[in-house]
Amino acid sequence: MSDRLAVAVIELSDSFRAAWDDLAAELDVDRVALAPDDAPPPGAVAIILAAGGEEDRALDLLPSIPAGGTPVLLVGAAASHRFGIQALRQGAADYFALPGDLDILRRTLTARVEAARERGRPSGPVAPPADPFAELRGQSDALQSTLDAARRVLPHDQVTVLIHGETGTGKELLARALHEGGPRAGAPFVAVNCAAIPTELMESELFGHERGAFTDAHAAKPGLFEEAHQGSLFLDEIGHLPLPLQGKLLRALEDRRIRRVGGTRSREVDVRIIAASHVDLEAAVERGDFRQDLFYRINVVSLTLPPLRERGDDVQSLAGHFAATLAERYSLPVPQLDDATRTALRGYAWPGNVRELRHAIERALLLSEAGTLDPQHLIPRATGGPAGAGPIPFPATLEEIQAAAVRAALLQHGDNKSAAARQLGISRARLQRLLDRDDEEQS
Amino acid sequence: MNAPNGTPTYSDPLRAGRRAVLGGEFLQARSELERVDPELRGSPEWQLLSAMASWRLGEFAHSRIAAMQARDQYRAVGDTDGEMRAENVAAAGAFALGDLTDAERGFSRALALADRLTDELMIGHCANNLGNVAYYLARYAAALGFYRLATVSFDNVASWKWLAGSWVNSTIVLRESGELDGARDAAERALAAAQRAGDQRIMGQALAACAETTAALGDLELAHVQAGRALALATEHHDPLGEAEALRVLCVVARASGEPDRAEREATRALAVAERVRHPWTVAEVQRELGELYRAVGRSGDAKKAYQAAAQAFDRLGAASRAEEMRARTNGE
Repeated sequence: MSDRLAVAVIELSDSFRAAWDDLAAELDVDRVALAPDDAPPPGAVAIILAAGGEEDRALDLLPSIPAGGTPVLLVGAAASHRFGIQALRQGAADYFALPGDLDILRRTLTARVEAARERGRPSGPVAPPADPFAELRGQSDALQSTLDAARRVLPHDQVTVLIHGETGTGKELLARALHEGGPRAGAPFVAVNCAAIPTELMESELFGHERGAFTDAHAAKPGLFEEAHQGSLFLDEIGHLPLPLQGKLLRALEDRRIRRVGGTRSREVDVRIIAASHVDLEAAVERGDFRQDLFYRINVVSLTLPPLRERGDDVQSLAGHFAATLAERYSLPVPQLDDATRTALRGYAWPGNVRELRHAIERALLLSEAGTLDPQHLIPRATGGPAGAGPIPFPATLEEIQAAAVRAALLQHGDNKSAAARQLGISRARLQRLLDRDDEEQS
Repeated sequence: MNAPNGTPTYSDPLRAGRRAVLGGEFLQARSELERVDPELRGSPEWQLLSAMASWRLGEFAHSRIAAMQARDQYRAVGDTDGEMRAENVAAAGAFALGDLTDAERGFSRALALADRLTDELMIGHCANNLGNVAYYLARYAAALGFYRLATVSFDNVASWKWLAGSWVNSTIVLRESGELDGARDAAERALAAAQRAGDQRIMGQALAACAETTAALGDLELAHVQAGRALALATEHHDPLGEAEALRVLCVVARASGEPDRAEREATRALAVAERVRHPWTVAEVQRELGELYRAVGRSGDAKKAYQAAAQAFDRLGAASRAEEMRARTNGE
């Protein structure tokens, strides 16, 4: 079936016939001929009831047209006030007297086409992108071997996938790529971070709830399973799912049906699950924190995203990519990575992985002179830490923590002691005493 | 527009009014709708268009009544789509008038109708509106749940501008809940959606939300740059509300940087803009910010006045718990 938008035309007369093809071509939509008792095709933005000279017949027909919510635009030749009112009363969405109203008809259809285009992607299958993994940039062996495994899963849209990886390694990007590159592309991709939802709300978030199901359920609300129907549901940090809910999730996966909290009827859902975790779920199973049956159900295919520190030169290419895309976002010239910047990038372990790198580039881009990336702005840690701030030894004494806080506050306020003291909530004199003590210890 | 024989065609004003509403020309919409034949003025479409125009022109009581009349008429003829849209506008009227209970009831009903019609765009709008109600009532977990549903729905229909708006709202709630990493992630998603939408106004709003989160994370230097860019975008693209919000964030950054004079200047500018565009929520927020600023520098009398003004503004919005919080601070001064 075509995904294109269309204008359906019921011709009661051949007046203005040439106009319909012209309008359809102008709007880049299909023109579909319709009999008066035909339902409009999917994608129809309006039904034109073409009735030049047959206006009275059109009035009789209007109530019986099976428009199913598609607006019927009656087009005639009679520029009569009273006739227009009659048409509306018979169910027309609007009446146009041609040729005088042709321009208004064109604008009406244009608005409907634009609204339809804004409202939705085509509902049918869409062509997968050339390389669904293009957003996961990097040529390191560690990354490429994961992507090779992911490519093999692409055609199998019923297979659940479990993605492992530290925070910030791109687990959601990989999940989205599996969705966009597979047979479910074009259907919804719903991502939810289980760690971000309070435990007591988790069930209603996933499965929805009916009004009054619990104290704060003032409105009935569809759940994320329903929103992901026919698409993919990405459950990030699935290890945070409370045990009772793990059982309900397992049942939903087995039965392919869910029931809203407080609801009485079950609803069919066709959802492919992609799960992710930064913790070792097998260990969680051994501890009894994660159900073994659910683990085996979701761990059909396991993919591991490597941390950035194990991806060699990927950090350089990613930094260049982020610099270019973020420069475009902020309308700034694209900066080049000079040797000092490259050295700073290499000399840091990036514990927050790609996400941390991206934030660091964004910060440096906005704080550096336009067209440059000053390494001193690549977050302090990336350049070995600001002079004077120093690392806190572990375990630190109270004095060491105080001294570090003072140094950090001074750094933040350009050595303005009053401002630093205000930030720390202490007097300027107390700040000076802490500084003096620190100096003594340093010497 | 006239027909070829010079006779005015019957529905020009209604069509013109509809076009003006959809095009965001609300004053023009009002004048077109007033020209509509009296016989058609009782139609649900006329009522709904009139309600939409009135809401945008700040005439909330009239908007609410017109939308309720449209809703009842649509319901009487079984037009669920029309009923849903009218219900949403009626609830928006209640929301603006501070009747949060009625607003919540209306948005909930509109959401149920949208769910029945599988209208993802309306599910997104209703969920976002319910999130706003929950936020006003300081029910943060519920607000985040509704914003989550809204983002999923807007994403499903590729409605990037609205998606960005819901992510901005999520950013604000996450930040106020102290979930700073989550707030930064939400702000990043808001910026990405705004960029995809190609809408510089929402980009500015997303950047302002991002800046306030950056400030909360302690990077005041970056926060200042981000808020400055947000202000520039809002000014360039004639978005007074965005301008007020960016100025408020600049005030927050200046206060955290230990620059009370600059903070007061930014807040005063923000207040002037928010009052000009009659946006009580921003007025209340700026007054609260001023209260915090004056308290920090020991100007107790000024702090008390600012907190009182904030409490009154929150009261008008129906945000009782926030008003109460402001009154508690007033009493503390």
